[in-house]
Amino acid sequence: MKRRSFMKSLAGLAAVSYPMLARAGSAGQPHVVVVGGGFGGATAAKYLHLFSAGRIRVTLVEPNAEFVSAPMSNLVLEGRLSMADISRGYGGLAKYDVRHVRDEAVSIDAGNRKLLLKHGQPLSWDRLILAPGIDFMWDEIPGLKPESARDAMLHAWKAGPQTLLLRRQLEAMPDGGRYILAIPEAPYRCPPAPYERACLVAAYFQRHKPRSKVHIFDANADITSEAEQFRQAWDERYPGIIEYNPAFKAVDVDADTRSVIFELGEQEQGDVVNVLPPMRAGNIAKNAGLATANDRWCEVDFLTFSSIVDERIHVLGDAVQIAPVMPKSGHMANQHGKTCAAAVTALLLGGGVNQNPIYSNTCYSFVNPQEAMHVASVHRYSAAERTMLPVKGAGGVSEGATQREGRMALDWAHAIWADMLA
Amino acid sequence: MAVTPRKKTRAKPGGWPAAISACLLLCVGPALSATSVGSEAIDGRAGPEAPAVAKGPDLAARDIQARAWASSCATCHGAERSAVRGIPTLAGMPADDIVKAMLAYASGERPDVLKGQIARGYDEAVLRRIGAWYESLPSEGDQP
Repeated sequence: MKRRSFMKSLAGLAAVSYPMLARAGSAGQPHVVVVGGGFGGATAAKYLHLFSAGRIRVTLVEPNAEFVSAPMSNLVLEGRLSMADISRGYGGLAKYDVRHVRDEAVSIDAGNRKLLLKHGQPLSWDRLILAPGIDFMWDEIPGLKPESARDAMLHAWKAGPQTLLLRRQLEAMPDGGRYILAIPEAPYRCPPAPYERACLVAAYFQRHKPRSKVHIFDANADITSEAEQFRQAWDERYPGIIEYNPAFKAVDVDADTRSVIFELGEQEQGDVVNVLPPMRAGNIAKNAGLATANDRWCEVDFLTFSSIVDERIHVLGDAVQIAPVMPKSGHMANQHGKTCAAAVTALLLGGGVNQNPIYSNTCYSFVNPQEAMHVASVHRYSAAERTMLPVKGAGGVSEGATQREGRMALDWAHAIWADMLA
Repeated sequence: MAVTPRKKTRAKPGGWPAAISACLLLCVGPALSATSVGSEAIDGRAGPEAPAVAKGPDLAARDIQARAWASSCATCHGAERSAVRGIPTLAGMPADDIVKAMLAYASGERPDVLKGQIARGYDEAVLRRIGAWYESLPSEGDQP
């Protein structure tokens, strides 16, 4: 009997089914381990508790003491916000009985349903949720393999220490210097964010180093999100400061000369060089063999976020092979987290998986410290195509950036941080 | 180890069709919405038949699909109460008010830079059940 149909047969028993599911050593409750305390993982952990009314034991494995938000982190580069402004502790999850294990997940023993940790004892799970975010494909930029090169040429694409280091590099750069931003081919985490970063670094230069320039080298043929709006923002607000070069794919770097080497042999030297390497699903998922799409992203069932490799291992957030027009964003990961939490609750306690998930996404981009614009979409499950599709007529983008949307963007940030952690 | 079979084809080496099309679609700028997503878009009313709305005091315990839909709204509006002054709390709000507001945003009768784009993703039947879910929750004043 397949496990899922076994679950279904139990579903009708509701109240009695759940003691039967209890396993030796699991303290009488099914146990779900969530790996990664970002937008997707923290949300999944909290909502597992809410949706199961405390009947599922939840452990969150996350090495950091604090969550640091990548959305809004470009405002730290510009100087409007501090690291403290974009950081939140995990303490709030305690009131949802989420146990935070400060450790690093190193591998999965699927057969024995165990997660192996770097320091602590292995954790047993009934279901495992991986929200590992992205890791970088260093092989694609060989010059960045040595740690010393990575320290010199930052990505700052995972909010945290590198965010502050990049800010310091910009502060230390002489007026008249060149800032180079190399963008990888899509898909990558947060489509509009590189272009927002260009705006906010340019805003910093305008105020503090007016002779400095932003040089964007984009592996894509054009701006991948809100192209007209960004072009307009660059032309109107940063004439002569931002230079955009499409179809420049970085293939290597020379850390000694702070140069980026492109596919056709061009070489560009900068004072601050910010290379976003090509990205893939986080290590724990890839090493477990779950990155089935080109050894890069994890294919999942969008009703449950179960991996196509192992139904009891769920993957969500940026690590997932996306559905059409589904961005790799924090908002989207939050929506994945809730959909997955509801499905896992149904699978463990009975009640049936929602066959018609509907959720939305909004990504704000600042074009200067005060004014922002957005791209929004609503997604609904297509039973015929077995994927999430954008709803016709819904979604859209701003005509242009405004101060009102700048306030809305910060409201959004405070709201989503509270939704996942408070 | 349970392996769930999938119809989905694996991406071909050297390309990520869904992802690339997503990127191209995001590239189109101001008209991301209806027309530009074309054949890949789904009709907002094309979802599977939803179960009937539960009635009476058991609503909160029974309409778990509405709870799942409503949790999407909580990203900005808060699971219990809004974390932000500028964003209204939905818990305890009459269902009719939620439905009317969303339909007014969707039609453009109530203009908003963002909310209409979101509201047009929901049909009235879904909005009614989301509204009923929020109405069944204790309002802010009732919470400790």
